Amino acid sequence: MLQTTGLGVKGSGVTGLEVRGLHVRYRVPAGLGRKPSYVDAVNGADLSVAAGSSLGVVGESGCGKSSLARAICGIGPITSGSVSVGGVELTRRRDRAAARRVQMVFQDPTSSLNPRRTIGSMLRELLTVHGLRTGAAVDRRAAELLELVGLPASALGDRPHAFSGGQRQRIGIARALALEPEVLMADEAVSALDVSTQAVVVDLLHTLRAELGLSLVFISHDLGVVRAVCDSVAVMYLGTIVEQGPTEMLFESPRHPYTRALLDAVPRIDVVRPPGSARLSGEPPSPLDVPTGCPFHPRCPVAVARCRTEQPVPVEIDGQTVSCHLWPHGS
Amino acid sequence: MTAALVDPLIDPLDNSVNERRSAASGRGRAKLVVGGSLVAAFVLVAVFAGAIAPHDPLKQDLLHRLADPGGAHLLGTDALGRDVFSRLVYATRVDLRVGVLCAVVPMLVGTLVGATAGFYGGVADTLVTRLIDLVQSFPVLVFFLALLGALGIPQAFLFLGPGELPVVIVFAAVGWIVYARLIRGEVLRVRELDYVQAARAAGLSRPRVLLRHVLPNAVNQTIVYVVLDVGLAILAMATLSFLGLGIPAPVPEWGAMIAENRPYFADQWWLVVTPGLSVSVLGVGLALVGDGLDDLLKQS
Amino acid sequence: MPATGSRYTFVWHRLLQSVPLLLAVTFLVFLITKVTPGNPARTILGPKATSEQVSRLSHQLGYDRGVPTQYWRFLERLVHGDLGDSARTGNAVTSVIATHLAPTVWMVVASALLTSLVAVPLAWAAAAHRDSWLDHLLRTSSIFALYLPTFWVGLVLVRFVALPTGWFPVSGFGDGVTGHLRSVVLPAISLSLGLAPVVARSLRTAMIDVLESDYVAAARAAGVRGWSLFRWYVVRNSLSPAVSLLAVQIGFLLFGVVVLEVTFDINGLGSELVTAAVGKDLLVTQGITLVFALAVVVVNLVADLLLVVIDPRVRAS
Repeated sequence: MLQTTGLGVKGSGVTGLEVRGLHVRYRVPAGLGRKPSYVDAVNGADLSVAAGSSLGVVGESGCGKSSLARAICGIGPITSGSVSVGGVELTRRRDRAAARRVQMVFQDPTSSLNPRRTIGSMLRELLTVHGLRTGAAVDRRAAELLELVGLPASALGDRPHAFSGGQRQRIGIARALALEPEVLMADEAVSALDVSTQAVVVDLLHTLRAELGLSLVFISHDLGVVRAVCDSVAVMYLGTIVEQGPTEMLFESPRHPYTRALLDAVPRIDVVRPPGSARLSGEPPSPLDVPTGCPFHPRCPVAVARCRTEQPVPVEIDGQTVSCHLWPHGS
Repeated sequence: MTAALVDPLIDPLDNSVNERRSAASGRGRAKLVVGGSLVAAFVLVAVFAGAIAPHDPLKQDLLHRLADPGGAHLLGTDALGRDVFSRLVYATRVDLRVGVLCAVVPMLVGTLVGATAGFYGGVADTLVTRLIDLVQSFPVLVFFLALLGALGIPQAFLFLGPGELPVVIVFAAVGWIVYARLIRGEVLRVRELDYVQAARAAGLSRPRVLLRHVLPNAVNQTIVYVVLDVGLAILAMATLSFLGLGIPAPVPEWGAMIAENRPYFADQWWLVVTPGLSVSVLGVGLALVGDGLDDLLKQS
Repeated sequence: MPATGSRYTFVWHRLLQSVPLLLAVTFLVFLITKVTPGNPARTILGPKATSEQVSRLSHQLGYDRGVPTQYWRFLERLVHGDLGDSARTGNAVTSVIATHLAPTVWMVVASALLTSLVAVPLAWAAAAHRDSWLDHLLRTSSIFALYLPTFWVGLVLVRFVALPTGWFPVSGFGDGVTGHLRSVVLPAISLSLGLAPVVARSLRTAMIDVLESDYVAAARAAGVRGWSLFRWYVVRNSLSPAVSLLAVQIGFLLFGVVVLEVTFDINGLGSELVTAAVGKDLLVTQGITLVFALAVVVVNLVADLLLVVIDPRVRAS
């Protein structure tokens, strides 16, 4: 198993996905004569995932997880910052060869497959457009891809509606794998499935990552799944990555108050919750109106005056990176 | 285009989906069968007009003017002694041809423009939106009438009979806008769906994504509209011909037949009733097909 | 923003929006003289005019200049109430319009009233008794009605009602108020026979939306029943869709009136327009089309402003 941490690549030294200072800003049109406002969906994200390892991105809905995923996949805007795979930067406008290096598995297995195309024609289109196979090899590869995700080759002739949710998600994975990507992005890829199916699809992703040496970015609000699948974890709050680090370290000793609150909010049967432990109260503020200073301060149980005015910078402590005034010096 | 202009009034825009989900499929199939048979009958008559009509629709016989139905003349003869049944049969050919063209030409143009506007956005998109606002607050049919008057009635053109070309031009000139709106809205909806995003993420070219992934999933409503539109175009064309501005005499056309037979309506009522019924029955047939298709498409 | 302030803002915005619309509409009407094959001045003056007369009119209307100049001249003359003269009679187009306006207004008002009088109760009844025989009848008849040629319905009414009974005149506009009234009855029936089921059907959908809303459910739970529920909740809240629907229909209603004037030989703007169009009397065609186009713009404007009065939500958006 490869060893990775939140920052930089250690262990094998094979570069996978590198994201530096990624900003995604949306313009929100206003009414007549009023100034448009802006939403910073992703606010300077730094991430790296080595080849063959996996990163989980967690946070509440609306925290910018999906904008981050779309920007990395080249289907969402990038305001500034860079996305590189294997040491080569991928811009927003990608040519075919660049586009296929990052592929995505979508949340909703129903809307992510074209209802009018058979599975075979969808896979064949991808293989031939990218020139990955020619002639009879195209059909062979399509069948092979389905086998890889545990579906029979006979499924090639069917349209999406013939399959169950879990099967559709497998097809979605096969579609992503058809392009032989280096990075696989799974945006809430199992949250629309029932629990037993979730486990099977998570297992599949886990195995494929190891077998194919993919960098897997697993975006989820389900901390349990992330802990099971990912080598490292990044916690997002209102567009900012507030903490990231190796999974076990982060789950055992969370440093950011938000991470702690998230972990406390997970119902667990093995731990008696200590009285007075931090519970997350209220809804996250609107992304249209991000608080000054540390974005988490209005909900933070340990906020001090400085948190209201000054945005904390990320510091590294024992391989974990955290942006919080409680940890001013790093390690 | 007329179908789309009457907008909220036509069935497909009735969005009370829940109410219709149940049994909609069975009802849809029944409508398709009834409407389809009606339309098929008219199409057959149009195609085999030569074999079906017992007489030359233009052949005058002044010795047998205004003959009663029966004998050699199934529906009698008109004021010039022409066989009314034969004229009705040949009129089917003219009305269907022009009706189909008046719906299909604007659909093709509108789909092209609307898809481009919706998918690529920008100036084309703004222009289409503005034009739609304009068409909605404009008496389009009155304008058609004035335009046809100004254009005049030219001779036959290619496979089109006398007067047909201006009718098609005028309908296409305005009709495309409504189709453009329809397609634009659907393209805007479909292009955000995950499978289109997936196609984009796979690095497929934009025209390819538009043609193979977006458009096939954006045309359902348009297919329904174009079917309804053929009937409404025929109705509008018959009306304009009745007024003397569509298809000129002596071409057999339902609206023109009503106009030419009008003076004899009091005694020979069938001269006016039969062409009007033809317009209505074909229209209802098309409406049933459109409605049935709509039910089935909503089902899938 | 305070409520009254936003109401005025809305009115202002709506009026401002009409300016580009008016420009576009007048441009379309202006195009009528542009699409005619050959020299429009020749068409306008008729075959008897000398070539000097033709070139003088060409210059006067700006036909020897570019299209923008011609359109500008058209607007200038329009502002001064000059729509040119008829090629056939030599009368000013404005006076042609003035003399033929009254019958058309009668026809429009009678048809709109009759259509509403039939459509609104029909829609209420169908919405209140969903899936009843009446509801299904409305659904079916709206499909059939759409494809009824109004002029043919008019002729059939004349042949099978007016002729045998003698209750209504077969053609013409009659004399005096009663005469006029009797003359517009059959045209109004012909028109609303086609239009009313179609309007009623979409109105029914709007009313069902209201009936299924949470506030009606709340009112029902609070014991509001029957007529008072209908009157205070359903009627009030389905008024605005009704007004919008009728406004959308005005273009079709006007075309129907044009056709029925010809059918019933009523000498209004519509039959005058058709005579002019058939006879290539370009300026009369243009002038009357302009009247109909402006009528549609005004009706839509009035409907939008009415909506502000009826429905406070419009102001907010």
